[in-house]
This record gives sequence, structure tokens and C-alpha cells, in this order.
Amino acid sequence: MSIAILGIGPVSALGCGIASLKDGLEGTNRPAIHNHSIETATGEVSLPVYQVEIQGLDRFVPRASLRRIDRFSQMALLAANLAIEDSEAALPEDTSRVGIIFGSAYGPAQTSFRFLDGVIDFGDNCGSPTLFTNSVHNSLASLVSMSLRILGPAYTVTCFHQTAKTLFKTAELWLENGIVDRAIIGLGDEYCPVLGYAAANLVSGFSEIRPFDGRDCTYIPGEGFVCFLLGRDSEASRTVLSSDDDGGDYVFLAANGEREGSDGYRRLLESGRRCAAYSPLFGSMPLGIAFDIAVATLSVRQGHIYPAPASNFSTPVSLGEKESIACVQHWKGGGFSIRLGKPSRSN
Amino acid sequence: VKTGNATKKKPAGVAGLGCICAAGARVDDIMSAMYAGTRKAAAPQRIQADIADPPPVFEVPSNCDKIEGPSSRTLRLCLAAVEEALDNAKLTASDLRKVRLGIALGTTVGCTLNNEPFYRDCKAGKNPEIVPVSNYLNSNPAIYLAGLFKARGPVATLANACSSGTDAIGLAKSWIENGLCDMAIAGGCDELSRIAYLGFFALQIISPAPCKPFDRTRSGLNLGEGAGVMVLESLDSAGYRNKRPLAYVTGYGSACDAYHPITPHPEGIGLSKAIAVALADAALPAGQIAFINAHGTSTVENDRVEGRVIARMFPPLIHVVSTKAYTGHTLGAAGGLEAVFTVRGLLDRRLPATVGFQEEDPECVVVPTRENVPVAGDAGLSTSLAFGGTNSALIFETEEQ
Repeated sequence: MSIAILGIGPVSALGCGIASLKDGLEGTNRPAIHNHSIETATGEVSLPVYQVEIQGLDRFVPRASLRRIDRFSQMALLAANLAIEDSEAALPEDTSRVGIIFGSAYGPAQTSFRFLDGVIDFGDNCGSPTLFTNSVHNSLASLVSMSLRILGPAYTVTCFHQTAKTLFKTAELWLENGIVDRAIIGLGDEYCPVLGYAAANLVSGFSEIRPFDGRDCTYIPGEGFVCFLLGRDSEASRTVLSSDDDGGDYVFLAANGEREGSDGYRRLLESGRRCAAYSPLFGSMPLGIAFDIAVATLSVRQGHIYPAPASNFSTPVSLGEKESIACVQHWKGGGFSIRLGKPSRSN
Repeated sequence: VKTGNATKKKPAGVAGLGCICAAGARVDDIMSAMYAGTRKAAAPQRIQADIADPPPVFEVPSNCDKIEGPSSRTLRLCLAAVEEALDNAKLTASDLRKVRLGIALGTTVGCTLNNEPFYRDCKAGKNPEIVPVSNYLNSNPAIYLAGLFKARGPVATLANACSSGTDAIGLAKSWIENGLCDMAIAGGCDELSRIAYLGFFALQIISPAPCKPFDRTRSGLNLGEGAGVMVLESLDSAGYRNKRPLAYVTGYGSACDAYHPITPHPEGIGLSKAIAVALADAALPAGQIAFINAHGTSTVENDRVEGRVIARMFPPLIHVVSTKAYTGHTLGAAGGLEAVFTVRGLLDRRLPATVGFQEEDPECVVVPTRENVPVAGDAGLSTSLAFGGTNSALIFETEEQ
């Protein structure tokens, strides 16, 4: 089965929304990278981090109501609203026919640590109930359901690199089985100093992400959140995707400088297929394939492959009406791919 | 209500059950403890909190805690329950490698990167080793089991707060029905965590005494820990093994309140919808449900809302039990444990008393079991209400007896 991508809402170090994404892909906008000084057992490390500056959320949500919403939740809420705004079809009036499926590798980790700060600094009976509530993994999905009055099912999935596969497969089942008519799926993570500390201890030297270098770890942490509004393929006029399908005239690799999955990416590169990677625009994230899917969606809509920071073919290049793009993620012992194209091609 | 019924082709059978919790380390022991009305709520032993009169918890007894294996206690509890479920299903690990196996597990603590000693050292500038981070990366419940059993089917760790275990079973049911796998290990697992203990304390919904679900004087929940899992199997697979399923998971529904982060909608709109979807999925009228294993946390709001929804949707004398009176609230594990108890209630043809319940609360409308009661019927419902306003319901059926 294929499903329709009706809207995308990207929130990344390139900015918030499709215009920022497009500018970043065309090279007129650079990702925001901030350096953090981190003390490790072997000395101080300067850690670059791709970071999000949340902008424009007050177009969708009253500023006053954001007071108790943590930063990661704000990213998700903004991404969901941007995806709906980008949609070619409105949400159904009966919002019990809309479902939410969110995924992250680490959840609201920074909020968890802020809860612990209260306990450590002021005592066991001084933890903040608000921070505890927001530290639960499904708080993002909860917030979006409340804000958009969505009454259908809501899942939060956390399986590191395998998360995207589970999300898209679940959305497909929900749509195919008539559980929902629309699914908002969202993937992302928030940087926090503890993750930075781990990265600083695991990686030796940070210069730039080299997606096709499978020998050295060239990981540079990133953060962000992307939402997709999905519907049935019969509703698609711009983009459809089919999961478990690695066919495609172009392949976007979720290679991001990690060693995880690098063998799979190397095999694809050696196969002679036309491969590109965009992680140097977004940072290294276990769920970074979400940004590749956003780029692929935009590419299908615009009819060209955007300039890629890493590729084994010349970019930009036109994407034919019948051509499609596979987004591929590999991990130790497995992989996942989805193919995106125009509706006539994939239906 | 539109459901997956129209396309349902491969019903999901329940092949085996496994549990570990404060009431015991095996399903038979736990059921015996519940039928005997014994429970073991006590001040926490494994976690320490600088709180006057620490509220009681339901911890897995130390004589049940001999499980070896991964560093994550949540995962060790899970493995104990999985081992029992496989034994109950008469399956070995090598059998699982021959089929398309799916893994769906719910958890909350088990997917949270907040190792407190590590964070304290980070915060104090002590440059701790990052072993706790590595352990966390290697302890994702579903990924760990998928690696252990070389699973070739779908994999999901669900973090839907207190409905995680219920939703994991519901998701695995859909995998079997849609032919994505032949078998699935599904349920929930969670260890008792100091951070969760302090968090619920901060929310002021922990009871200072053993909980009293649906009681007029109830004053909050007790936290617990454990794991409850089941092996689900397609009928083709069961036929191939020449095994008859213990029961069938025939209905599942999930819906949001879209109301409040921690308080259920006063009219229980999400729970009502989830139950209605589950009933439609099972193609059963409410009157065919023999009993309900309620979420029944013993908080003022949960029990009031849940009781009212049950009273509104089901016949007046339907049996309602809260097994959290014996297990405490095991968070991500709760739905898994309670699904197992629901199946056992159908198989045993009886339900335990809701220990702790004494005084009816007109606000709850329903009156839970006061004593062990016989089950007359072949369908049981298990409900979950979660932080974030997620509500889920599972229906299990046994063949007519």
C-alpha cells in the first residue's frame, strides 16, 4: 500500500517551515551551529551542535499558553501546525478520525534532567510536578492532541534507528484498516548537555559530518522535529510514499557520520546507484531519516533533486515525472526504506 | 464506528502468558495470591527517598529477583515474564527464529535517559564514565528482545505512559491480523524508579497507605513494578504447531481526551470512544462482556471518571475488578499485567476481590468485586487511562465453555 504525504512541517537548524528548508537546500540559508564547551576526563572539548531556534509558533498558539510548554514540545507543536498548514487538504471535522504517532530516540531528556535538578538542588520533595509531567515520553503527542483537539489514537514510539520504520508502518495500518482518515506522524529529538557530554566522550574530534566516510565517526549532534500529515493514496495529488520499498531512481541515505549502519550505506554506494545525503544540513540524529523524507517530499513536489552536501552524482538535477526517490536507513542488523514519488508513478 | 473489522483476516490467538510483579514471579502464583486476597505493599526497599513516611510501593520480592542478564532491571523483569510466556506457549527461542516474530513492548522508565547517579556526577563536574549512557542505548526493550530472538517481524517500544502495555498488545494484534508477522511477544515492563516515585509524589497522587480502588475514602495510587507479556499467534501458526490458543484478542481501541496532561476528561470521552471502538472491533455488544479489569488506579479522578463510563456503557451488575490493588500501578507494565489477568480471569472462570475496597462511592457509581466472584461469560475487557489523555481498551475472548 502507498500513502499520501499531504503536508510536511520541518523544524531544524535551518529554520522553521518549508521556506527555510528550501533556502537551506538551495544554499541561501545555513544551519545554525553553536559551539559548546564540554569538560571531559581527557580535557575540554569544543562541541558543535546543530540547534533549533523556534520561530513562528505564536502564529498557531497564543504566546501566553506556551509558558508551561518545554522547548522540545514546542518544536513538535510547531512542526505539527506547519504540516497542517502545508497540507493540500484540511483535517476532518471529526477529529476522532485523526491519529498521532510520534517518535524520538531520547524523548524529553532535557526536561527529565530539569526535574532532577529540582530534586538535587532543593531536595527529594521539591521536584516540579509540571516538569515531571512534561518529562514523560508521550507528553509531546499529548500536547498536540490537546492543542489541535485531536480525539483519535496517539502513540509514542522509541526504538532509536528503527523508530521511523515503526511510525510509517503504523500509520499505514491505521489508514488501511480504517482506524483513522489522517495521521500526523512526527519524529525528532532535542539536544541536551548530557547527550553532548556523551558525544564529547565518544567521538574524537569534531570538524564536519562526512556521511560517506564509513571508517571514522564524524558525528555532530543535531536536533529538530519533522511532522508529516498523511492520508490515503487516493487523496494524493503531490507525493505518495510506499514503505519497505527501496526501489527508486535516487537514494537518500540517512548516513550521518555515525558508524551505525555504515556497512549498508557503503554497499549502496558501491552498487552504483545515485546516492545523496543531507545530514550535514541538519546534524547527526538517530531519527535523521525524517529530514531526508522531508527533503525528498519537497524534491518530488518541485521536480528536482536539491544540491546535496554529499552525493555520488551531480546535483542539482531534474527529477522526471516518473522518477522516484528512496530514503534509506540502515542499522546494525537491519534497515528500512521508503520510496517517494508522484501519485501516478506509485499508485 | 469504523474499525479494522472489515479487513480482519487473521485473528490473533493468545498462545502463552507470563508475569512478574509484587504478587509473585509466575502467573499461577500471582493468581493464587489475588484469589487469597493477599498483597504486599510496603515502604520502598530498593529506592530511598528523603520524604517523611515514604508512601508504600509494590516491589518485586527479592526472592523473585534472581534474574541474570542485562543491566536494566526493567529488561530483566521483562525477560522473566517472556521466559514464562514462552514456556506457557510451549515455544523455545529456536522456534521463534523460524517464524516472522514481532516484538511490541510498552514501557516508561525503561526508555528514559535519566540515570540519577550519572547525572549527579555530570552536574558536579566529576566527568563520570558514560557507561550508563551505553547501557541505556543497549536496553531498549523491544530492540533488545528483537536481537535476542533474531526477530524478522515489526519492532516497537511504545512509550504511551500508563497505556503503553495495552497499546503494545493492540499494535501486535494488528500486525497478526494484517499478516505482518506470525507471532508476536507483546506486553509491558517497568521497574520501580526513584524518579517516578518522586514525580508522582510531587503530583500529590500517591496514597500514604495501600490503595483502595473505587473506595469512597481512596487517596491515591501506589507505584509498583513488573512485567506482563503474552505470546500472540496467528491461527495459521497455531494450526501448524497443532496448538489451540488459550484465548483470542478480538477487540482493541484507543482514543485521546485532548483535555489535560494528567487528568482524565470529566465525561471520559476518550475512554468511552476507546471502549466503543474495541467493542466494534470485536463485534460484541457491551452486554456480552463478562467483566472489566479496570485501570482503577485509586486516584480520585481516575476512578470517578472510569466508574461513570463503565456505568454508562455496561449493564448495571457487570463485574469490575482493579488488580492494581495487588500490583500497584506499574506504569508501562500495567496494561500488560492486566491483559494477562483478564485472560486468566476468563480461563479460571473467576475474578479476585478488589482488596482494599470497603466503602461504595456514589461518585464512581460502580462497585468493584468485594470477594472472589465467578465469571459467567467468555469475553473480558481491560482498560487503561494514561497521562496525556490516552485511553485504550482490549477485549479478550475464550471459546464457549
